Amino acid sequence: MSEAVPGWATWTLDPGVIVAIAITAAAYTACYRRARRRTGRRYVRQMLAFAGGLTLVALALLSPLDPIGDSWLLSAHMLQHVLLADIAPALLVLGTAPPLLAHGLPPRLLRALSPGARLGGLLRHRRRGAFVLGLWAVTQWGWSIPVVFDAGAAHPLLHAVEHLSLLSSGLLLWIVVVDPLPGQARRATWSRLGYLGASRAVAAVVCLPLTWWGTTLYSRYAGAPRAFGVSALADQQLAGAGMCLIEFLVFGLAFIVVFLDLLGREDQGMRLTERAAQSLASSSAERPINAR
Amino acid sequence: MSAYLAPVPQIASHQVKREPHDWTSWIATTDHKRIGILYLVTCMAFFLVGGVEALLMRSQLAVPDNTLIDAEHYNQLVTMHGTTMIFLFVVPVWAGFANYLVPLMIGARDMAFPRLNALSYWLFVAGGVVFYSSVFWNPPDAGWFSYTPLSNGTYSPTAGQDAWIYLIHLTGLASMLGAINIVVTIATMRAPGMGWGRIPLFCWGVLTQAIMLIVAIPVIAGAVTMLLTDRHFHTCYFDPRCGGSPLLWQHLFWFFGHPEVYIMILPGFGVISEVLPVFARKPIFGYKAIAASTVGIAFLSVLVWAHHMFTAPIPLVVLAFFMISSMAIAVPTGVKVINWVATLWRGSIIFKTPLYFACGFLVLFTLGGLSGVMLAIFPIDWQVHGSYFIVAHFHFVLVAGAVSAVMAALYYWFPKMSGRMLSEPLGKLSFWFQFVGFLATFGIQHSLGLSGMPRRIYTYSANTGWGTDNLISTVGAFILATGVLLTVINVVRSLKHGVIAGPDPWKANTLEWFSTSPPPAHNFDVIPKVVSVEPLRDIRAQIAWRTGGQESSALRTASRSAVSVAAGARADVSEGAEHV
Amino acid sequence: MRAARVPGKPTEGQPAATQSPRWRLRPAERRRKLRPVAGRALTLTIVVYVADLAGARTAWAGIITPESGGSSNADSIEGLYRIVLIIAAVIFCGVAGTLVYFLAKYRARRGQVASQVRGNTRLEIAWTGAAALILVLLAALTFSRLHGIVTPAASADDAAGAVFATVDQPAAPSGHALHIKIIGRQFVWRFEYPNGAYSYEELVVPIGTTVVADIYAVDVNHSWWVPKLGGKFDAIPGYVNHTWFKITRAGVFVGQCAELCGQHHAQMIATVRAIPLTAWESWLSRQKQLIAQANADDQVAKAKLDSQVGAAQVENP
Repeated sequence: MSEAVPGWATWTLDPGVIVAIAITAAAYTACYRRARRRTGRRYVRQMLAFAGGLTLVALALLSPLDPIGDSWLLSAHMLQHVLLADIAPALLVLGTAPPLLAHGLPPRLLRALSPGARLGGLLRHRRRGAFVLGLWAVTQWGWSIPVVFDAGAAHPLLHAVEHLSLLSSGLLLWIVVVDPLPGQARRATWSRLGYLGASRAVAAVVCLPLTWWGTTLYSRYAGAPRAFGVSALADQQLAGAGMCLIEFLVFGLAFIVVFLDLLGREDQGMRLTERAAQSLASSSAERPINAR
Repeated sequence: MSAYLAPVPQIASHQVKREPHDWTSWIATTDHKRIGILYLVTCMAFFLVGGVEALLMRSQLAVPDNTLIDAEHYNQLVTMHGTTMIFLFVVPVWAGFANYLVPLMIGARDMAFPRLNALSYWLFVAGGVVFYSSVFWNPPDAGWFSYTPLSNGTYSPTAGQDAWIYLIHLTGLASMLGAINIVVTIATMRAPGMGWGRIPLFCWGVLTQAIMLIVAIPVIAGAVTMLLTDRHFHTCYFDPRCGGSPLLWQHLFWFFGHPEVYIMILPGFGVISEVLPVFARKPIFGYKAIAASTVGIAFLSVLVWAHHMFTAPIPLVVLAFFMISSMAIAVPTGVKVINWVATLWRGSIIFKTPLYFACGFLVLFTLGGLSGVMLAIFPIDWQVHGSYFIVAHFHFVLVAGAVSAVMAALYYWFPKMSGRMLSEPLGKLSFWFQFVGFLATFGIQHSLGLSGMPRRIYTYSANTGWGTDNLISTVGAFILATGVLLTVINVVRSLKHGVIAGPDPWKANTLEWFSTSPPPAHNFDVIPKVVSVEPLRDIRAQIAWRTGGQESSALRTASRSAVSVAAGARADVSEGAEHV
Repeated sequence: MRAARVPGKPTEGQPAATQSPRWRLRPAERRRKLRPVAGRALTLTIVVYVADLAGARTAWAGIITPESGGSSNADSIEGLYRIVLIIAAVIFCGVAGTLVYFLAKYRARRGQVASQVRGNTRLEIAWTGAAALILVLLAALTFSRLHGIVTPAASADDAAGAVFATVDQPAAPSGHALHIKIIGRQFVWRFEYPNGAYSYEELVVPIGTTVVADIYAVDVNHSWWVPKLGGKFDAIPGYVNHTWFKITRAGVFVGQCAELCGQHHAQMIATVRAIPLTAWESWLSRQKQLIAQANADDQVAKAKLDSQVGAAQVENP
């Protein structure tokens, strides 16, 4: 392969990807419209998040990043995977943050997703966190095995399966954190922070060795022609360090947001309990102790 | 009003045992308050020893080609000073304050594991004794982070290095046990109504510090054990001559070392978050943001360690990662500083010594933090690493940071611990000596580092031109030492002659001020129900409401009226209040 | 001074539960106050950048900025430092100034009650975002200048060998550089030149040639640092580290070991002397000659001693 590295203008217009994105966008728009009609509110944050997520998916799969990642640079391929598995799913799920789905989904779908129905019950299962983490680990680790990774880059069909699996496991991961399902909301506990940490630790198992390993591990990329003057080993280190960095930032942000959310929920819960207790005791004409 | 002058005992008791006060009771104590005071006194003693070591070093460096201290002893002083200050002062002093205050602040009667608590203290003392016994033959001289191969059997053949290893093991174990104690105490023994969003920010600082200790100490324990076996049992972890790597030591050490520096400062952050609202007479600005930043700093701090190794043979890509992660940590820290300054906005600021130290902290720690951001930029670090710029940076964040916070904590909580106020004029004088002395000592060291002076050199020649700056630094060190001495004198004097402090001299917000000064062995007669993040404020408001606005006099006699108030509290809070 | 809400009593006209601070009700006035500040900040940034482009080395080097002047990488580091210093100074003055202002303005006065505001989520998110943005800018600034610091400059003269500087790096543009092995040992630096000659403590290099240093250590950790010639790089036994410099004028540059290596760490001085290329080449060949001569003399002396002492072996250190 002695062709030049694809420039910034060469976008692969894969029809499958474009159709999938279009269908998703259409479905979301319908959902958004319905919610807007029902409640009259503009769900700006959710809309921006979802649009951002879809844009990143398009960027990952249609931009020059895809061919560069296939045939030239491991770091480009890794960036593509991180976009698909970490950042885009987070944004997509944030785009469905409550109460959008509760107002936007059609009644039949709402019934199927309700806690009583089979699908809804499954999605709210007590052990869903552990299961999703396991799935996440399998996809992250499985696809990083050098033989598998190289094969995925070489065969388009396997590559599509790879991307789909990464995207879906990422979506499941963030669904557990963001909890967009309407109806009986799952009580948030502090174990959610541990869950976040565990998910990043899973990714660290991949990114840390890549950063520190002294020799190249992926023969396809070690033997590929050099692009942008980056050596094979530096490319691998960049892949690892870049992935670690994005994991680190995503973790930091998610951790703080979830932490603040948990504090807020606990505070709210306590205030409600106290207000109830106080109204019970208010017959004794005592000054309310928590009116400030 | 008369009801408060003649309290009616609610419980009649017979043959009450008096609290023992002799010295044997101090050795056998498991009371968290006494253990806390033991920690504090021991740490202050080590602080003074470490300070003397520093003054000796600065005296040696005051003029070029000085012969006060020779090379061998200078390197030993460097190692002893750093190790003492870090492992025998800053880390355990927070254990001391945490031991004393955490149960009081969360409305508990003691720590979760009182005997484990005592064990932690005595392990710490043992560590200090073992380490300092090495001065009788050969103290260690490989620096406080003991880089290999300098610290291995070939280049440090004397047992001083082993004394250092045992210190790490003993104090590390002490810290870890203490950390487990703190986490369990805060997690399970909070007063009714005290949710996670209502624990004092000092408790958040101590809690996250404890979790970081639990994560980081095993790593250093493993690393120093590997060094021990390298030194004595012919293993080969760090020796390149048989396949080991000196760089491995650096990675292992700094993987512990970076969380260690946050371990040293997070409780200090908590202290500042406690002191500022009290002296600004308004709540802390952004409680949740500060709590979230504390926790965020703790978890992100394990991912930045290699910024201590920017000059080592590490690939550029990796250096870039650590630069960005180190910069990212600056965001929550900056958020905290801004929140603290915002706490003063539109306040009603009362100028007492704790506030002085807190504001000194804000100014100087910000400087240290900014120099830290500069150091995160690795090309800049390539120039200033291993020079006096780094020495200046870490002294800014550790002395102006942690020690300022310790001083603020001391002046703030001394009334609670001893029942007497520290002298305000002496305290303020001590502050100004420390502030000016500190700036003179370490401000100029930035310049020394930038002009090429490396660290850990016992002398330098006159033609380097470093003489003037070093002299300024030495003079500043003595001014700083005078300031510290003034505080020591203040403490010693006030123990006997200080103004009697009531239970709540500062009109503070947290539960430790609800009890007498000093608190009885059981802390509280009745543990109040907590309804907000400022429980004492609510209690004061209750008292004011019940006494028709004469709250100040009521609180001054709270030691006698605690029972009546508690009885009142028991009456209107039907659920949850804990009884004796 | 407007009295703020007294805790416990609802302000007239406001429901008891809300606590919005007064200033939030006047966004227009707030915007008016911030606009000149933003304008001044922008002007300052532009001035700083222009001033930075102007100077290669300031009089402040060695006082508030790192040493420079020997090689372009040191100059680049100093330039980067200057920009970061100014940004840091602005931030520090902002924080400290605000603090001092608040301390002065909000002293406790008779009858004044503190405003019981607990926070402002939007403001907090805004300044968190601003802090993150400043750091992103600093990182971008660093990456934009990294090339000039890390990649060796083109050598003015011919010398053999394409090389790498700092562990992994693109080669010098023209590919020509002078390889020097810098070996740290307790307590002296040893320099090995391509023709087999070596020297201790003083490194002699030609002017205008890119010198690439391969840094080794034989016993403990050392660190090679000549401030005017760029950053420091650790010499760690079992590893090789790299740096480069290109001196453009004659002179002597002094440095010192920067990693504690034992008792006489303070005496491990290094000097780098730059002389014109032709002078250097003759110095180099003379050095090699001198070494060969000394070795020969050494052999003669050893033989003499052996014959004198007989069975007892004299150790040749």
